Amino acid sequence: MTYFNIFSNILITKGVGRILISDLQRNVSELYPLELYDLTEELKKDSIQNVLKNYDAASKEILQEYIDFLLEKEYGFITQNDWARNFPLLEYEYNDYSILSNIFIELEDIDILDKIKESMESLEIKHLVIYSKNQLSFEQFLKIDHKFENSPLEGIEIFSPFHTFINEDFIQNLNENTSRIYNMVFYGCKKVPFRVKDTFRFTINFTQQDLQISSCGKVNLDYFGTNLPKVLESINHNSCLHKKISIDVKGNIRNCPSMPQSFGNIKDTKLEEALHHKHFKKYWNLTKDKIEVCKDCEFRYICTDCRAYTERTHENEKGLDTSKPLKCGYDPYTGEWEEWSTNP
Amino acid sequence: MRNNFKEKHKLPLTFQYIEMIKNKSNKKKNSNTVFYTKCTKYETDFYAIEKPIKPLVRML
Repeated sequence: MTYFNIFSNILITKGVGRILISDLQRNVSELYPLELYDLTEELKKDSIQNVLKNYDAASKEILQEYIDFLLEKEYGFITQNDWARNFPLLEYEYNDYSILSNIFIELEDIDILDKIKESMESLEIKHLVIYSKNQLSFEQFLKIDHKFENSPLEGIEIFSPFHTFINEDFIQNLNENTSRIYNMVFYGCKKVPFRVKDTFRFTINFTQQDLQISSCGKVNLDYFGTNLPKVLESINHNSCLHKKISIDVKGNIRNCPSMPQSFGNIKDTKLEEALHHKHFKKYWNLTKDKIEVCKDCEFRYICTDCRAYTERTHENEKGLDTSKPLKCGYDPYTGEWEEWSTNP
Repeated sequence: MRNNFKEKHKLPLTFQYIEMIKNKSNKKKNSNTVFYTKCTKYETDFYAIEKPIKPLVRML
């Protein structure tokens, strides 16, 4: 008897119309028809010979092709006799040692960073995202990066309006004098000032769009990510708000600048105090499996959720919004992408 | 091997033939490139800084 075993780093996510096979070692995901799922389920329980017995000659041929395909893709392997218990499944638990993982600040005054720096260190925040409505000068970029010199913060991402003195020298100087900035987006840029080299330590984006804080929450293929920690976080927690904290332009501490509830103002509340507010973590464990439409979608573990902009159609018994993200144009029931802004 | 430091016993591995592959300029970064910086809090000059595991904001 020969058995087909799926490698434990292969995650199969069943959607209503298709399945997504994610290879968590190679970090790629691919879409397949639903019938492949039924086959893999049957192969978990029985030997290849016994599974094939239940089908007629024509189907057998197709099934064999499927098995060959699974082997070719290296999603699994063949064993003689049943060794299934010897190949344990991957543990899907998610562990992250830090108390919070990221902070999103709608920045008006850079000095606010001094106020929260100590809290950011004690909360072990690893990534900082800054959205600025005002133009930032070279000195201000440097100041932001240097404020966190010697702190455990790992990365800074900055969204800033484009201004005419941003040129190749400006970026080159930043590349030489900063260490934590990993991404910069200059919005409202009519014409890209120069060709961005890939030798910079950070990535740069110039966009014509006039980005607002309300531009966030988009769901599309570019934002999908297949990697083990990301997928494990999505399986166990809310993929956007888990371990996130934000400060809006008025200094209010929120889960995200666009979420309605405030947990105090930075003027008189420390980040630690806001975190201990009994409602601060209410969305942390709302996974995609509990969100309408998303729970039927094959992309649910590689996608990143949004709780600020939703269709506002469903609420669960705890009063949490469980509606589909507004800015997602994918319909898992038809398997088609549409423009979300014209088809809400 | 010039610096054999008066080794009494020869090392067991001797290479009969070594093909040198010169390093290409390895400046181009890829997803495996690890950057590091100083961090006095953790008392290291080699504090690895990693990108987040997911897009933290999705504005574009």
